Amino acid sequence: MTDPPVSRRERVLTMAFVAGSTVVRLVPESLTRPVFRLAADLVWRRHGPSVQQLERNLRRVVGPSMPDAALSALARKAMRSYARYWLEFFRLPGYGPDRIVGRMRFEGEENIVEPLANGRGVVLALPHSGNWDQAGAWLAKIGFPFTTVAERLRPAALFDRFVATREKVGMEVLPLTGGGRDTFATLLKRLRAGRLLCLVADRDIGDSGVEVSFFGEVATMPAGPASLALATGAALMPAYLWYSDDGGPGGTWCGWIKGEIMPPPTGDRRTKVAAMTQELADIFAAGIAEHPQDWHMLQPMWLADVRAAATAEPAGLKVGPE
Amino acid sequence: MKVGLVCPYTWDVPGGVQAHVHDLAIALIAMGHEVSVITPADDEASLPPYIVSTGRAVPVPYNGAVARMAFGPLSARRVRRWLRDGNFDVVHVHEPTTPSLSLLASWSFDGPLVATFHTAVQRARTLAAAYPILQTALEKISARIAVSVSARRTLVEHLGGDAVLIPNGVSMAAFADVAPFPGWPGEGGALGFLGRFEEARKGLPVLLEAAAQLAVTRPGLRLLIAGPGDPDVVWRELPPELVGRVELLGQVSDADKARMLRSVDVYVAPNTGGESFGIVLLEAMAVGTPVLASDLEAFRAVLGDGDSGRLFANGDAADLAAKAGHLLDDPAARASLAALGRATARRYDWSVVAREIVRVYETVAPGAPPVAPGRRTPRAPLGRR
Repeated sequence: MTDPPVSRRERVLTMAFVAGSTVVRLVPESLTRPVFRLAADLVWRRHGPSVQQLERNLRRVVGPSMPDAALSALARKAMRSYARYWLEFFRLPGYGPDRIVGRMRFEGEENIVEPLANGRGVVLALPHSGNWDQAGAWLAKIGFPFTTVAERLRPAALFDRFVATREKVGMEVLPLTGGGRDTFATLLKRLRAGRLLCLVADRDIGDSGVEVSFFGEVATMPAGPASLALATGAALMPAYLWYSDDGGPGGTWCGWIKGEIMPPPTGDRRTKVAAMTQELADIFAAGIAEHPQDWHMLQPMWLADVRAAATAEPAGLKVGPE
Repeated sequence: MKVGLVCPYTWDVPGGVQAHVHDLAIALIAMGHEVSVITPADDEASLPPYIVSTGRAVPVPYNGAVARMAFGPLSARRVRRWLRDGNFDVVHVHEPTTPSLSLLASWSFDGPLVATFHTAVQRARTLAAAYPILQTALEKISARIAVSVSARRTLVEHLGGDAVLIPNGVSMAAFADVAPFPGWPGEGGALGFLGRFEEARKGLPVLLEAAAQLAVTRPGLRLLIAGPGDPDVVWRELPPELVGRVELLGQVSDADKARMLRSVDVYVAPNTGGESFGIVLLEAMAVGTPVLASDLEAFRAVLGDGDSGRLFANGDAADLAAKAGHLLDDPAARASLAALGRATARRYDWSVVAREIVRVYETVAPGAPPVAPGRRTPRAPLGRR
């Protein structure tokens, strides 16, 4: 594969990222936590485009009746939650099983046991919420290793670091783009072999989106999870993750997996994918409505916002683990 | 269809058979069947409408426990009236080998009769003595159900004839989403025990001995014990290592039982014998608590030979201590067992089990009308009391 030459800006970004993550890893968590919190508060106070988008997204979740001040406070919590995700992402390789498993409160993980035990693949779909990297490490540690995909980031060195962090905790990570048809073929192969596949599925980053009604407004969501399940006969199951702060330093991670989303008995492939994706959206919405501050959605995802953003200036260099 | 259920033991006293009949009745009602239960009961005023009482029962020692049953001319008359008024398509008696309402109903009913055998009787003498009387009832039974392999073997070996194996059920809904007691299980590790603790075959002494061994190296280890019985029995036999580390809950409500099971890192079932099924193992699995049980045949069957719960050598406190220690040290193994356990428990959900039982009813009462279409499902009564 031929990568375009690395720009100066990308090189600086990579170096800053590596330096930053090394510092975060070495300095005790009790010191870095307040720093990340403060950083989240500063970004929130600056009220840039991302925070404004976050507020627009959260407004759809909480409805028109919440006063602006309360929405603003919720956005602040959401920014802190997002910063917490990043802090934990850097420190994840250093967390032992005691922390990763012992501080996880989960419901419904048994849903994936039966299909997997019978040799049937499972597609676990979840929105960007809580700490999905910790949840992935937890799943791998309790005996359910899985495959996932990651959006290829520029620069490549950064992407490789993200992948390395995840593979270290027990996931198989495939690039969403750049791997070409290979990635899709590998996913089908894994599912047909009765393996587990985890996909973050609330934001349509390709162009294969399905229109769904999400909190009463049209949004697009990736068709991937439903399509893969339908093509392979794998079970499609929704999950949601959030944070709880009742468990001492750092609090606990929480989550659930709901029962299988069945394909409709009739209709063509497209209708089935649309119906299953809609059901996925409805269950995600239930999780998000219950724990809105842990939904890390700083990008436009409703059609109205996406169109507005497309006519505005192009987005800057995006760095994220998605 | 119209189903009459006969419970031999006093309704107000918690027990495996009573819980089985209660949950089966609720599941059948939820499926749209018409159900009436006849049972001895101390407190008749607070019974739900689908239950008919024959009054108070007398204590009878049976199979190592004290069972409270009703047997006599007065009870016989009440059973006959219940059968006449009920006009049942099928009558389903439980534990008909005990001198009880179940035996009386078997004698009096002329129609499709189904019997469920719960107990694995170890001392066949009890049965052999009663054999001629029992035989008269057994001959009338059209279909037999055993809740476990060992209950089925008791039937085959001591009474002749075979039975369909349909396991006990567990109500997944009642065990989902329960919260642990505040402060439990805590950081130091917590083990749980549930059962009539003065009964030797429940195996509490084995657990206490093992916990005492573990306590030496684990300063934070605690025990949560629930069940009916005299607390002084526990305090008197408590090893000195465990002083201050045992929480005794006494007899708990169904809701607190679920919470209690959720409040420990490992649920231990140290029973030394006489268990035919181990429903509480499934309940622990349903709340997502890993199970460590003695390797009794019944427990091995429920735990899939150790796949969905761990086993230790029956009566061996050192083995129990070692296995419990491993589990307490390995949160990943516990989480994995929790997932496997919940998946296993779901196969025993009452909605699944009751359907199998109805299939038996349909084979013995083929002419009975199925659930009328469009019939409104009555609201399931809550709780046993």
